[in-house]
Amino acid sequence: MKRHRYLWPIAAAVLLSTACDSPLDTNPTDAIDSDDALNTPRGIELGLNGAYRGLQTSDLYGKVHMVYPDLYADNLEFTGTFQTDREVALRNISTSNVQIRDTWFALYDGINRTNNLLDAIPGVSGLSPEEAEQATAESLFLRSLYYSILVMYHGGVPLITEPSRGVDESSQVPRASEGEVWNRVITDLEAASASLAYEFNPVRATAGAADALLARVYLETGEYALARDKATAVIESGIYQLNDDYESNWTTKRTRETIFTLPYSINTTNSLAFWFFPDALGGRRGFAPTQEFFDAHEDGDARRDFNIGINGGDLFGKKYFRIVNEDDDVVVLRLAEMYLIRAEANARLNADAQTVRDDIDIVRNRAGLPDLPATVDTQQELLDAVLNERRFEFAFEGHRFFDLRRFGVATTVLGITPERLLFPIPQAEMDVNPALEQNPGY
Amino acid sequence: MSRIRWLGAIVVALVALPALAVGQERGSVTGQVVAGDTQQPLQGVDVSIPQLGIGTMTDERGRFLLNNVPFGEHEIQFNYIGYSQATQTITVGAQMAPLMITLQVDALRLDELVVIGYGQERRRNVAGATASMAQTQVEELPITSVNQALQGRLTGVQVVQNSGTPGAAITVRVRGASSISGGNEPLYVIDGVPMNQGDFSGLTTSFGGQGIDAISDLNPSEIERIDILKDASAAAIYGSRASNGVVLITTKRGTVDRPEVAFSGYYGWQSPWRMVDFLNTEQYMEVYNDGLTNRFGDPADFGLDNWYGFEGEGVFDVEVPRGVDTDWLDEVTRTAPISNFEASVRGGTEAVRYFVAGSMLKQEGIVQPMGYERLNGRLNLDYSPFDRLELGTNISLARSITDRARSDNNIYSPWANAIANAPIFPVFNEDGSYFTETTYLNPVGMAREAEAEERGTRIIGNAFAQYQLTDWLSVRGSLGLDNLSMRSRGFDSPAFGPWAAQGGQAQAGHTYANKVTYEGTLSFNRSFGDMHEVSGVVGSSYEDNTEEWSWVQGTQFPTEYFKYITSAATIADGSSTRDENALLSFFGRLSYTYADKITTTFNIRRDGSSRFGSANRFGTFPSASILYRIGEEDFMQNQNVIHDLALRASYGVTGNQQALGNFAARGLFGGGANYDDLPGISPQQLANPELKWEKTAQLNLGTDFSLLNRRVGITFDYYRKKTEDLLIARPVPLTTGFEDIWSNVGSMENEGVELAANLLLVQSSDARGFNWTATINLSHNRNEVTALYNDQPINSGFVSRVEVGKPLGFFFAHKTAGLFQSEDEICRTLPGETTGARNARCAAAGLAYQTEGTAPGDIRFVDLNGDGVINDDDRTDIGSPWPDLEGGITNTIAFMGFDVSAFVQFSLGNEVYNAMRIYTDQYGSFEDNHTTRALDRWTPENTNTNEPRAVWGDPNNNTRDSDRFVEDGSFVRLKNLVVGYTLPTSLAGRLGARTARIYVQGQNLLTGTDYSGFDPEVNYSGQTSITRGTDFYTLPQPRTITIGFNLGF
Repeated sequence: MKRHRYLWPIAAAVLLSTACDSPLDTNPTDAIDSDDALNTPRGIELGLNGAYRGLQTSDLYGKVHMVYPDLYADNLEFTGTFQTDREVALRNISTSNVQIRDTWFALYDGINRTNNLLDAIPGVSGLSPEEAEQATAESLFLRSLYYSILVMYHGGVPLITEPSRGVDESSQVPRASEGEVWNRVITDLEAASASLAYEFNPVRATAGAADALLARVYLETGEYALARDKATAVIESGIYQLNDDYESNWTTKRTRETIFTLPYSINTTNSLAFWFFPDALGGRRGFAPTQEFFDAHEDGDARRDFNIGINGGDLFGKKYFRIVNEDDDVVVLRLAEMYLIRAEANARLNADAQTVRDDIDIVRNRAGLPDLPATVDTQQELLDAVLNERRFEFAFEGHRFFDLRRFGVATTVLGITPERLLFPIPQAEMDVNPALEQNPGY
Repeated sequence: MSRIRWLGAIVVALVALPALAVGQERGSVTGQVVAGDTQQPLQGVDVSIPQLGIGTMTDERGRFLLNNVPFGEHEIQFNYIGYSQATQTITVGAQMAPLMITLQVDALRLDELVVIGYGQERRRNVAGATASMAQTQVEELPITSVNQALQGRLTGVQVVQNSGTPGAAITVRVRGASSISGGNEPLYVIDGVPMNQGDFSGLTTSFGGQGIDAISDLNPSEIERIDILKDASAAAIYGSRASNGVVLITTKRGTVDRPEVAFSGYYGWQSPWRMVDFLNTEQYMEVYNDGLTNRFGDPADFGLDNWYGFEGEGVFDVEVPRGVDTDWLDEVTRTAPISNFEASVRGGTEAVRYFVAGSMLKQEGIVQPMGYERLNGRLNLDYSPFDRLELGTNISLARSITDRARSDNNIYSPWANAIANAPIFPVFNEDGSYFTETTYLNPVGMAREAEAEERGTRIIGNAFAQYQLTDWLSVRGSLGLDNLSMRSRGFDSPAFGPWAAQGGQAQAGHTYANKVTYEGTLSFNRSFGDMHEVSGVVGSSYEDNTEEWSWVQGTQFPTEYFKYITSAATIADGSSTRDENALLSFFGRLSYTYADKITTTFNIRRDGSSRFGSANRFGTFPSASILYRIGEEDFMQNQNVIHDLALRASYGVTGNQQALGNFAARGLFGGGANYDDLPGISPQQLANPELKWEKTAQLNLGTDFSLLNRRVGITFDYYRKKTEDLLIARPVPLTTGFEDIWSNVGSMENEGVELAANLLLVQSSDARGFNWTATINLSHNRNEVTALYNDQPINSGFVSRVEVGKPLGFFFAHKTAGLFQSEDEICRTLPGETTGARNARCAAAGLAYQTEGTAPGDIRFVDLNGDGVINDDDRTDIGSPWPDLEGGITNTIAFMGFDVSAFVQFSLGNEVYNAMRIYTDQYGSFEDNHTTRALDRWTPENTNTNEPRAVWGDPNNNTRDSDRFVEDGSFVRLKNLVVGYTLPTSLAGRLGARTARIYVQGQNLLTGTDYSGFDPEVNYSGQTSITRGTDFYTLPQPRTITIGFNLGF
């Protein structure tokens, strides 16, 4: 029976096939299960870093939010190849514009990051009350920043304050009103401001950052006295001071003028310089300063030649210039804005003209320009001066279109219908959420 | 786990078994096999004595030797593809005369042995839909990949060579596409081992749509035959990976004979088969001046001669030397050589049989610097230490080097930039440096200065042991390995190109993919009386996949001579990851044949995959089929028209898990959300524990019959595939912070008919007489998406769309209705008018608002919904990339040693979206060069045209996605023409060879098409099914002329 000696182990080899699950259990090497992510102090720390990081994507401060408010207005023109950018430059954005959708998503992605933190923080044992308060305040600041960008582009948006765990009918949230979103932002920022300390730490949320953002929000919502007071609080905090020259804000990182900045490095890069610089200098020049913008500068304005370069006869933006390492920091809030916010708020409150001019002159002098003449003294003239100053001071910093709109001149300056004062809700979002209503005119 | 690994151990133990000596009186059987049609010896005929389980193959001279045959009476069988089986009863004794066997051709090839999943079956008994081809059909063609061999040859197998990029992936669809989220390629199994498929490049550089594919590592000439399992009955035994069909590749094996040595080789030249005409400098200047005038007014009103001119001549002057007229396409293309040389030895004894082959392929691309090189080696060894035991191994080694260039939709692609750049720019400055003021990067510079190289090493092999337990039962164990290692290197010069400002960049990447398969099967085949035959297989397998990837990028190099990261001043980026997945399977087949007339077959497989959600770890995939050989019935013998009529029906369920990510079912927080150089995490994916495979149920009805005394064989199949539980990353409200969640939603149908005809038109019994054969295959497939999540359409690429009720990836964009000829036809906004009021006014007037800049000569887009404004809501179905009919016709004629083989491939009724024209046909705008269509543009003098006016900035957006760029992509192509001469034996003998043959071959010699682009056979984004049939700066296929030889010793 020699052959049976071989038969049975061979048969066993074939028949050993009983179900065993263990070889089918594999785990990812670059992710962890959601339930295990935020239940330790370390997890909260990592999650907070992630919530800051959300701002840095090219869909937000890494490119789009620094460019579109100028491209949709009169500072930049389209010189690239992407239809998405072209529609923005033509001020005729289709509801299917993929970049508008991507930016919308990036904002809600950031909001979900903060909502996860706000939900998890109370349950994390090992987090001291102080640590919990700090983490909560930073999360609230970030969520407010995300929402403030959303509401600036789109008007009222769905107000989501709980983390997403799954998708069902309740995920189809209708739009809150613009006022409701602003109220939430103001409540949260005031809470954050109360919890946070006034300290110089421009890459994290601080009381200065919360107040500076509040000043901006109050100005946008017409609470001019509050805007003035918040700007003053930041100016008088003693934490920040204007740089001696304009360009130091970008040639040097984390200057004393910086209230909140997004740090980029060789490890976390942005493509701002790449998109502004021409081919010959290693970029793509997807958009470029308009000749009109270049010409509008007063003689001697140091900001013109820092912000705008000329290559082969073509203008190009060069505020973000680290084309090799692509690590230009993106300044979100800086002290000069507080002076101009206060000037604008005072002008709108019909304050003394010299008070208004003083704040504007601080910014002008730093740019190498003389004081405004005393003849600029009616409310309209003062407001015009603020708007003008903001145009040059904040070129390619994500303000121009919103400024024109706030001053009520966007339709005339840009030749658009009132319906084009808001961007559309992305069609992709309308498709999955029937509870949403599109902005009029789209 | 450990129990599974046992299987491997036992296989090893089997290999170590000592040989057993069996004493019995034995003799040998020798003989020669020739073809009935040509009288030529047949090589590779399967000679066997089934009762004894022994067999061999014939050599180059058709001779065979069977040793160790016990004395007595045996039935010996001869099987060869395309010929009827021959059977002869022999009496083996001490002295035996050599046998002379003539095999007769059978147009239906009923007695061919067909490879099926985990076994072989005679075609006569196969109830499922399969298609087969022998490698000899493509032996002398300059094809570099197995997939090219399949092109146009088999019904229901659609092969599209996406571009002319050497070494690039090729799209294969078996009976249409059944998945939306990618993963429509069939499963490839080589000698029983599933292969690593896909793009393993370690570079992060975008190469446009043209990826590489690990399938290319196989040398087509090492292949004996390819069998494709098309319907569920055939494929279900591959379970959760079978929905897209299964390609079973069988490589050549040794024979029982003295060594036969073969040398073959070819050398050839490739060049573009056609060029599109572009404007020269004079025409270009004229169109741009027209465009600027239409935008800004008559230059004379501004005191200018021209808007656009050479330096000092216009306002928009360009600083280029006068008199330049560069043909950029000519500058980057070349006549590129291709060559291939091979040697093989095949032979053996009764106990040990071997096949050893080596080859060397080198191909340059028609665009610099593309190229592809491959070295292949193979050893297939069979060893029978004693009667009932077979041990064997198949080992394939491959080394491939692919020189790549950015292509298609990459803005740095040499080919795309050669199309885009205007003729006014010179290639070089006077000092010999690259001229860099071109609108798009100088393509010649990009072709010469950018480097990207993939160097792959591939080991595919298996070892198996098979033991015949009884005369009807055998057991087999095998251990398979597919190990792929890919070194990737990229370099962009600090002296020129997109990375010059960063001081150049280099990348080094490494990908490692390892697939180990353990498999055990028990096969049986038993007859009960004359009427009943039962056969089948049961088995299990475990497959373990590991992939590792690492990559580093450096910038700032001293000069262009320093190309490796060791010289980089900055290590800019780096990463590494590892991924695993596993598959545990049990499978079986039971086949019952009654009286050689009725065969029923049942297949089943149960797959457990680490990719499936915890709630659905295992899936079961059954199928059943029935075959009725009605031609065997007595009542069919009374006529002489239809022979061998057979009816087939099958139904079954298969799965597809290619689209499923390894961890797609889990809710995850991912790393990498770092801030201020500190680590961070962020939500990455929503959980779906229910996630599972896609499921396809397929019905197949088929018939086979032959006519005209079996000289015309017809195979006809009808199928209907219903795919459910489609894997879709279905969109979720973005307000959740997620874009999508992987879900099993949606369904799709494919329905089609296939007709294959094999015609033996003229047959001569004289070896060098006149012979003419033809094969025709025709396939029609209709695809329809039948359900999506909430029936929400999905857009992709330029105009491709997935929508319920439409074929996958149909074209969705605006319709056009000619040009505006006068101001009256145009609607504009009145001062102070709101958008709504304007639209209503326009609609009432039967007009539609387009843009403020619209003017006569612009395109009129159709206001489909009649709301008075042209917007996204006016888009509609404007075409489909899927053909109505496709197929191929091969004619082979042989006479007096000469032979001619012509293969015509065609595709009818498919459309191509020529997206390149969005840029090339934007007349007078954005500085791209135009096709010569621009010369027929609308002007006040030339109004009877469909080409819009030239205008700087294109305010009307004439180039928006519309049917303007949809073209008929039908083509009929003389894919291959081979003219060869086989030397008479006497002449060959004088060369010292047994056989000698020379030939000339042409590929893509003629193409009939109305398509205006470079090549109608095109997929700009590679293998993806959703964005099929879009041409976007895609490199055309070359026309290739080769001369070659085959020598046998």
